[in-house]
Amino acid sequence: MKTKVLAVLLAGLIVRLEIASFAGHPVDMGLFTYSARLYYETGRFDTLFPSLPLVYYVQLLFYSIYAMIRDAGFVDLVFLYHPDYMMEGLVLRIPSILADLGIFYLLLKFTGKLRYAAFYLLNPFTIYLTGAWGMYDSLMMLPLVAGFVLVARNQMRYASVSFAVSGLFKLFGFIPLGMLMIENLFQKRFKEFAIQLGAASGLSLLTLAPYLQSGLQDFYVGFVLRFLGGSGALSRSYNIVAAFSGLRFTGSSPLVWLAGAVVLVAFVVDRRRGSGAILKPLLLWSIIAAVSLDVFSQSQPQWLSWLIPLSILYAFVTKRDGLANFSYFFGLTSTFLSITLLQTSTYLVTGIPSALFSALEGLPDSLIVNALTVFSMLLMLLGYVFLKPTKFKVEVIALTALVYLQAYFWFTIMRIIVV
Amino acid sequence: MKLRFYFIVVIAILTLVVPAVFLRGTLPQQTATEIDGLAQFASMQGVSLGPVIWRESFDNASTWAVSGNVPAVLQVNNSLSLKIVFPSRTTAQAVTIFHNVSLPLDQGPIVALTLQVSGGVSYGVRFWGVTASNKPFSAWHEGSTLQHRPGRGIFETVSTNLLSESSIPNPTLSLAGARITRMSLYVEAVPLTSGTFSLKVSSIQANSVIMTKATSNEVSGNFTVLVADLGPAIATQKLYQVFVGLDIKGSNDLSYVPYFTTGATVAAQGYTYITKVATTYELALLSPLQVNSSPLFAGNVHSSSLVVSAKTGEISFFRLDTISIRFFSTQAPRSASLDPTTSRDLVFYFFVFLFIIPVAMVAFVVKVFKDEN
Repeated sequence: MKTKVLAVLLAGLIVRLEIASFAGHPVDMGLFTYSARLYYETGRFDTLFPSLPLVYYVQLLFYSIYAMIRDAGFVDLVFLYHPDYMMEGLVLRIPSILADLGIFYLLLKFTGKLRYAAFYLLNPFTIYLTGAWGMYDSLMMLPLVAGFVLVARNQMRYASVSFAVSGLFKLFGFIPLGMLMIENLFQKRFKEFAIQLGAASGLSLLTLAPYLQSGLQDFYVGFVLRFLGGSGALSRSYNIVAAFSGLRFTGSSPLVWLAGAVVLVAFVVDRRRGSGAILKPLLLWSIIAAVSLDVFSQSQPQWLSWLIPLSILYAFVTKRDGLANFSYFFGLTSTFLSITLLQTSTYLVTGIPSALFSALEGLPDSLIVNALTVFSMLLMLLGYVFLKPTKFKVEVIALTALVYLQAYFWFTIMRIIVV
Repeated sequence: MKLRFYFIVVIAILTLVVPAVFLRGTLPQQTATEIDGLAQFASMQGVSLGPVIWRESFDNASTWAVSGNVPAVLQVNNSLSLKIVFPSRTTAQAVTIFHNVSLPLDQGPIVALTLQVSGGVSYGVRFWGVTASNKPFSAWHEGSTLQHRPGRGIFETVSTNLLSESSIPNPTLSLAGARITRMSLYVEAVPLTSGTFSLKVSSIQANSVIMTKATSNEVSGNFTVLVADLGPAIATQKLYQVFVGLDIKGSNDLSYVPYFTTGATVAAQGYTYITKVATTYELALLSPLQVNSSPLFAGNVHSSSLVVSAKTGEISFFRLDTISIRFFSTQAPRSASLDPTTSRDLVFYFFVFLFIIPVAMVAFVVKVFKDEN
């Protein structure tokens, strides 16, 4: 067994390192590189870092290794049109790669199934995000998965801290924490509730403190409003509502708050009806919350990856093997859609977008095709979650292909809607 | 065992924290820098549209001339209508209509056209003028948003600042006392486009502008555009981002776009912003990658400026709090472009690691390791 685990682990690690050494999202890697260099070259702490502070701290810590080897005289190389150096880009992605390995370990330890752990580590979508794109979603998912494992072991306080840490990487982590807190309120465990609130607030204040130096106004507008969907900028959304209507929301769609409220109310109703262990409903409603975000909010393509470990955990807890298998197919298809419809195949490789496969890339209204296909997969995922446990069948692949081809025909060839 | 694990974690964190603290600001390269854009702040002015100085009455067809080698019918009767029949040809085709005007540039005229052009063809507006010494000049340039606009089949309003349109292609020409004497509208079709298309113009008018100057960083009134002069022009080759902290109030329907300009060139552009209920303060991000339009009023030709242009509604109060201008030296694009074969090879190599190895490995895990799970 150990050899097989090692083989999967090595395969997952090697593909990530190989891709990370030359590929990268030019815009996002440029942002991370700029902020890290600003700190190590000028000594300035970037209070305008585009993501939550914890991501910046982690990147700065690992970048110190790169700073040391640069100080020692190492000459780094640039690959084609990328804004960062090759080793520099790799170092910035080490935390995410380690997080992926950590999730693999947790899934393997919790489920005892190498197949389930491999579904995460060898999922093209997680490889694509960590290795190719340079996204840090796995940094959020590691404490998220750890939180669920701790809930399963009934270590609620550690689980709460783990969810809070997860939320400080990406706000999604606060959703299971919020549900745990609601559960405590309804169970009248006020002390536990206060501990959770205190831990989450304390950790948040600790990580946000350096950002207050830029002034309360910048902090309020640049952080509080932006991350809670109250930004004044009309920016692009990838969800199905925006894709069809051409609407641009300020931050998040107002519908996301409605969806969030519905999820929380449904969780409360669910808990009041049944009094079993909390792990199952916590996982279930976290999955629904992630789906809601993918349907109603900005729906960044990388957010789809959150559903992969959640589905694997839920599949294990509820013995829904089909769901775990579907999560792999979901990631594979999401990678294909993201590359062909949102970025083009050369973008992450060479640093400039170019449609090499003209039948698949650079299509008019490709956002609609992407949104519709993703929406259909989300519905199928909900089917696997809610309906009677069923096997993953090849018909699901055919159905998804059919939705994609229909969307392709009507929206890019016939162009029945021009947004 | 547990203690040893925590010990290893603490040591690992410390080995990263210690260099992160001590190596701060030590890398000798200066590839990521940031400057305070308000350090050389000079002045601010609010700009709004003044009275109409000229309006086309569309009552005399003889003042319009049609040019082009395809059949076109021009009708002028309270509005202008041009019907064009493009035959199928292997070359591009165009029909142009000309009209004489007299608009002094000293008044900084803003021309607004309300027009409708069929889908499937493109159109554009061009101007010509003469200087005070009667020297002719062109007041249009390729790359302007006035050129080669796709027809959308709906009425739209196209506005332009004739002073900017004149100074961009003629940066050294003295425009004092100059005037615009001729304008044209053209409809063009790419090769193999055929059929009947139309151009309808319901109004053309020019307004003067009213400027309100302020030497402080805030201004009140009713404005369409705010221009903050940030001092001598900043080199923008390595410009990466501009963050602007601004306080803004205006009409309920106010939406605005911030631009960072150097001379008449837009170096960075922000999203479209709307006012918020929670606060009047906004931290706007401008990036060279987002440039897709230009403001009606640019700043001083020799300065860098922040231009905040209302898209809808009017601005009643504006205060410029902070500007952080960021520069990032990334590698210069290689002179030789990447050939498609190399790109294709690289993408296939990428796909092997992204799809083939992981999927093959998972298939192996599912099929071969199945019994031992």
